[in-house]
Amino acid sequence: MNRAKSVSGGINVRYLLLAALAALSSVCSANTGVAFVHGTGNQTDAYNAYWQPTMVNNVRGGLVNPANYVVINCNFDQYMWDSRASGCLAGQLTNFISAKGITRLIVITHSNGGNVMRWIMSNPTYDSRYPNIISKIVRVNALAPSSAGTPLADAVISGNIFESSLGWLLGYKSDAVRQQQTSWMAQYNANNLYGTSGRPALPKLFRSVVGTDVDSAIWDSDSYCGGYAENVGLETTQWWLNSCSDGFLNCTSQSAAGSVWFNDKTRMAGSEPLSHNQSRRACFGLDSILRTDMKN
Amino acid sequence: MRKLLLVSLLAAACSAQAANEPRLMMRDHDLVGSRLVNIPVPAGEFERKAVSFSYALNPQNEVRASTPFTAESREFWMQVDGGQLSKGLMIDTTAPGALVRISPAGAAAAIVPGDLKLLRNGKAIDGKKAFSQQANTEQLQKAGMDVSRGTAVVKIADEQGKGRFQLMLPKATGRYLVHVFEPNSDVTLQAKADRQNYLAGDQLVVNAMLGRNEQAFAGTEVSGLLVSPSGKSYDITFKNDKGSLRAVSKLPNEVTQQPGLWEVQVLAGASEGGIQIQRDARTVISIAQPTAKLNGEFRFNAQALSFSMPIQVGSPGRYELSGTLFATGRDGVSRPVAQAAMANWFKQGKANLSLNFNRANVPAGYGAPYELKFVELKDQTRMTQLESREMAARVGSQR
Repeated sequence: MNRAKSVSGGINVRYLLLAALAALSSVCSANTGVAFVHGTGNQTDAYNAYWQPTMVNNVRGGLVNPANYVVINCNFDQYMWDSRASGCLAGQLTNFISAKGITRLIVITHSNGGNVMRWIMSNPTYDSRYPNIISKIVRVNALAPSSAGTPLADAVISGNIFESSLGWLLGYKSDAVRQQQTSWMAQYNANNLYGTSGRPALPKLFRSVVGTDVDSAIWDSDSYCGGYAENVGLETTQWWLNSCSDGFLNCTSQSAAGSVWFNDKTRMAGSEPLSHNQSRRACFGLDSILRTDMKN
Repeated sequence: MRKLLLVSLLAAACSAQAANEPRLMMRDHDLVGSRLVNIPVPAGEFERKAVSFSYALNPQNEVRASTPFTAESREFWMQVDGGQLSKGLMIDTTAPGALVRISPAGAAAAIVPGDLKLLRNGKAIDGKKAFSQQANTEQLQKAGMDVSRGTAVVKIADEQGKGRFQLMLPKATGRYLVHVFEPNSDVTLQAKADRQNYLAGDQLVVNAMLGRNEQAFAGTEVSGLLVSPSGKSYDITFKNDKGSLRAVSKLPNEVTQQPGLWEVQVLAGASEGGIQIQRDARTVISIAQPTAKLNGEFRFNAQALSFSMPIQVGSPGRYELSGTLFATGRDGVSRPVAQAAMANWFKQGKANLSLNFNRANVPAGYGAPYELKFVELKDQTRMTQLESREMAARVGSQR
């Protein structure tokens, strides 16, 4: 009886080892690449202006072939489905996959870039390039994604809506800002996007890094990583947000779609929080965590 | 008119052809159209190839019908002219710590927060005691709040309490938008549409309530607006039944070329202890022109796990059919196992779309009977939902 148990256990262990080796071998033989997808804005040099070289280069350094990377430059001032937004993103990802022969694609998004990526993964029939991109994706590491919008978008759009119906405007807000109002994202999450509670899951893993707080003490050098967060403005804008936020997005929004990979303080050096600006920069070891992730 | 007649005849002819194919099930809250329109293709780049996609779902993850968004407001807006602000604009608050944002319009000068004065009963409150926080445009924009040129925000110090204040900007000229936000208030306006998706000409129902801790105020005055993506607005009339506010409106037939959602804006006010309470709330809905519809029949291929559905196309465009397949587990419980979608470009007339779920996506231990749920027909060229059926079909024999 004991022997039978032992034999059975031996087979299981051997099977698991073989399975692990097979998985490892498939990772080793694969050609893994990473794509950096920026947030709201019309980017032409996201490598320098949005992510900055330290972040991009440290992360891609974790790849077997560090040359397998692409930094996306698209117009994410548009609605997520616009050809200048997701259409542009699909074009640049398709070219990257084709040019480098990528078989495993890890996508790193920041902020509204998570919504544009989620549009592609939720609407595979919208564009004939989407299914091939989805088939190559192994996961999306969504840094502070605005999955449920932000009350700050509500606040800046409300005035415009109020006025537009009465005939005068204070200034145009982009479609991307309009899209990130909380009521608008609720509608899109319920009808056009997958991955939120009660909706079908996305076809590939979408996991978020959540920024939970902002360190804006003027005497603390940590406040300056990624650019000093304006303290006076932050103290005021915080009133529109919950106690758990990265200064731009509530934690509930950042964790609304897919799964939570980790909350900032659980993994960052010195348990530092990641403000919304810091979650796209090489701050407190975020770049090292993403670099290690390139090996899996 | 001729086009409309032709489209209606086409719809009728297709319905008359109903053969012996099984028909899709329908529930009360399903979105199902009865007519078709022929409208031009909007500007933009659109895919023309047929694309089909399916993938497996984890049966343990629940997929359920979504509910309309409930807007909850602790804020209101006022348009004022420089004369009102220079004399002292009356602002009533329901809780300490209200934030007041002022934005100049047109040529009006930028607001310097330090120029704002707060008065109570006509007496000026010392600047440092009046406001606990002040921020100008640059400071707000650096913090991620993309306010318009010249905007300033001040927070009335908690120690000043609640009630009636006068906000004064002595040198104010021109027009301003004043936004009062009370994050600490227990007075809210809630507003909710009865559905998320409508077809043009449908009936819109909006329920709202202005109250404190879910207790509605008596004598609430309310008005509403429906604003299209192009900015055109339509009045919504509310009726007040003991504080329960309800509007029932026929939706307009406006064909908008602008992408985006329609806004439902509700503006409510009440009086309490000599204080004027105001709240403005917004929510959104989608209104679709009925550019295509499901014929209502389907054909199930048990071997391929595929559902084929005829559609009637009124307007040229790209249409997508999607749905979730539920299968029965060994415990007899039906759970979601796969997601499928197919889209193609169609001209006006008859067409067909299929949901090919692929047997390989069904996990071991799951099988017939199957349920096809959350079936949706979307117009991808106009970003609208044309049809949705929560429980569309039940097929396959009991194991």
